[in-house]
Amino acid sequence: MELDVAALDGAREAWRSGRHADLDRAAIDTVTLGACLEGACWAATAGAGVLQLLERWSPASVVLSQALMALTTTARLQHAGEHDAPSHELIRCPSRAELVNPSVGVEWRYFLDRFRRSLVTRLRMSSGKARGLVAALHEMVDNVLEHAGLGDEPRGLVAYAVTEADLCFAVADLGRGVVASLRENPANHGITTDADALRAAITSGASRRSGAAGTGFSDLIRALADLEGQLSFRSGASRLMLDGRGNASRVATLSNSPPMPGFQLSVYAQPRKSAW
Amino acid sequence: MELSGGEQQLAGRSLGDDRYQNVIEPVRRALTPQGVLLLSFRGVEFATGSFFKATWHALHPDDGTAVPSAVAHLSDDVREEFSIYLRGHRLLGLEAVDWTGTEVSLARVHGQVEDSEFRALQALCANPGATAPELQNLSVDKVSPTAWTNRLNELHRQGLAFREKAGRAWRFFPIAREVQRGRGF
Repeated sequence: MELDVAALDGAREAWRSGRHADLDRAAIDTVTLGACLEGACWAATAGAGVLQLLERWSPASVVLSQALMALTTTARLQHAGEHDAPSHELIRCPSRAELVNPSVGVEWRYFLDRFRRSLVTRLRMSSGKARGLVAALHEMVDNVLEHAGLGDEPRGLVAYAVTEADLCFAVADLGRGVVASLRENPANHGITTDADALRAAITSGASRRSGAAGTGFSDLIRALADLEGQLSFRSGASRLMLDGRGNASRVATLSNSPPMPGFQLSVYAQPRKSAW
Repeated sequence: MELSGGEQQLAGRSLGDDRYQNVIEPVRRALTPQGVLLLSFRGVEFATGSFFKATWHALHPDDGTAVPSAVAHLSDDVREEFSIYLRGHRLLGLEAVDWTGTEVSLARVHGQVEDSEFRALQALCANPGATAPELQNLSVDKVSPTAWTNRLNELHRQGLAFREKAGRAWRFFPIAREVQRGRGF
């Protein structure tokens, strides 16, 4: 079976309710990028038993194996070559210094450049559109530094995967989640649930900063506007999925997700199915 | 001032805050009374809304008087993002097209601008140093001096005009000698 974020929610619920044997018997063939990063967050916060379970599933995905290593150890990760256009890549979240200082964040810039090159060469995407998606990924990583409450060296993961047919990128952190972040702003004190917080932040531009509305998620959704795909946002005990194409016509679905720290997002798009 | 700092892409609040504190703010503090901040995007291929929010919005607060400023050296993508950002926040902004060491001689207005606001700005460009009653006298519009005062004060609040006291009145000066509408109007 494929382990996607919905199936992972099911697995986490089964683990919570003690049905460990069911999970031991599960045959995992593939793991989506979003599930790899959320799985690593689960392993990093739920203890050795979950880590062992996910390590048993990791032969199905090299990215899952890398994500587990990145978030549960301090081992050095392998980077792709400077001029490659890799099919996938995963790194730990860069620090604030790496984001703002080109001489400190050389690896981060190479990572973004390889993602851009992969979009252009593998998917034959226009350079302008690829730049927009790379900027959107950068925005999502910047959000971790700005809102997760983890300081200037946050604990989190960033990854992308690009084939000739589709693209995916994901960002996951183990911070305080969306509700706690939004409630720093007095204008958001009415937001009390994870579901309301996700909806407010992603579709209404709510921000922990007072004044002008947040722009990061709207930039992301605009960068993907004409791409058929699916966006998943998870925080606390809720998940918001956006399906379809276009800013206005994406279908938003809220669901429960077993509680877990942090904020995890993943984006999947099929440009070949889209008219561009 | 150059904002790129060697980056082709300016994205994110963190980078915007960094550029504001380390590049923009020192120049802003040294700005002369009728000086205009020119934010150059030379070499930048792409900039995001968060970057503009951290820089342009800091210079143009919702609840205060803006610092007279204009962007310059925009690539097509940066111009489009700037315009989208301004419209999304119901702001307007100037792109300097031509300038000397002492003035912006030609600028384009981007973002959300009312016709009446644009006409007031054009009238001011044609009559720099005018007071509201003087512009009212020159205008064929049936608009009261109070309405002219409001329009000019609004241009000043948005950083599009300087003003100086002249007795009991204010004299207003545009921050660019000539203005055109940008794309998207």
